[in-house]
Amino acid sequence: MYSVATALCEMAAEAGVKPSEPDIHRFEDLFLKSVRKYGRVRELKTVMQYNLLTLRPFKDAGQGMQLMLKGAISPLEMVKGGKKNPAVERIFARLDRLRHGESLDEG
Amino acid sequence: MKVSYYPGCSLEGTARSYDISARRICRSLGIALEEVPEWCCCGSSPALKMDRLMSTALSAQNLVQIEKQAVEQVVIPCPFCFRRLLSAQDEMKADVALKERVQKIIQAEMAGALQIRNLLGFLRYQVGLEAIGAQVTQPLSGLKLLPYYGCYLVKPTGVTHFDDPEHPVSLDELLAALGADVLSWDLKTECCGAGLSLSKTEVVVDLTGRLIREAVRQGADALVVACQLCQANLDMRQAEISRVEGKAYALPIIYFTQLMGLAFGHPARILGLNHHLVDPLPLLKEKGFA
Repeated sequence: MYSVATALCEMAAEAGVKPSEPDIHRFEDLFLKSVRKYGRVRELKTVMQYNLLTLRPFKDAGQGMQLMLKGAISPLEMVKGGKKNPAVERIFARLDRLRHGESLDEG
Repeated sequence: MKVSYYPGCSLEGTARSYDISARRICRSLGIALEEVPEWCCCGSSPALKMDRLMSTALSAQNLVQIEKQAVEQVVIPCPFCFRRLLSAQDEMKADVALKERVQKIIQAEMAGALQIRNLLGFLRYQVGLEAIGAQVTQPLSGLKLLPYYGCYLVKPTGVTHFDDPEHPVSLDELLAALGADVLSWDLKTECCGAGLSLSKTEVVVDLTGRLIREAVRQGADALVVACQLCQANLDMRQAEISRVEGKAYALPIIYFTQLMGLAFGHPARILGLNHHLVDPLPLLKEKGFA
């Protein structure tokens, strides 16, 4: 199932293979950065960052504006981060250590 | 009945109407939803694709938090979060070495015996159609609905357990219990493009276009969904589909929880039915439901 696809992606990343679909990779990278920072993905902030990074700052702006006017989303969500989750940051830090060949036995 | 509730990131972001309506109908059914304390993202498809250990560890962090709540089951509205937490628990049950590794990463131990349910499956099979039907004060008679499950909810076989992966019926049965006219079609579990809406918009326009076109051809008044990504893609891309095809589409895309709330007598605006891009309120007003 997906474990095969995941293993292939991990091997590609280790070997430094460039993603064939860089935009998908960029979005996923921003998504995980948000999770690391806040414990949860801040959707609108991540969308905004992605649009800026890909030089399409007004992509889907019309739909976004309509949703704001309907009260479905708040413009503040594009900038605010919210509280952080130190437990999640520690998980990411331990995964970094494993990636660098370190042991987790010392805590 | 008290159960743990894991909303997931979208339900506190772009899919608040799903969250609001889910909480409302559960209250009507006498179900106490206790939100998981300090829950975190399950990592969704980005973590699952890029780093299996990260994906499993994030799910495990949530499983530990749920176990602290001293409940037997957790209910999850988002199909992807549901599948991720369920798969992570199953994978760690089958692979003790993985479980030990993950426990070291999250620095906590887990029992790994939770009953992990998707909200739709929980309502259909644990709560049951009789209890749901008993709450209906405004049957949705005359509303022609097409149930759309998407591909995360009931696939893959042997993981999500609660319905047939190719021809699911739980949503059909639930909508029938609300008194709606449930239509049948072959695209119930076709993909809408899911998380590619931003990075591969043209693919999502193509995939959602197939679904919208067929739904309109079937004469549906609305498409009913149980996934916030399906809702967003189908709702948001209709203007582009209309442009590509030179034909105007405006098919409401409604969460099943919103329709349950409506049938239970809750006001449409409280259920967030005014939050969608394709406004379902004119249709609901015309049919006398709002």
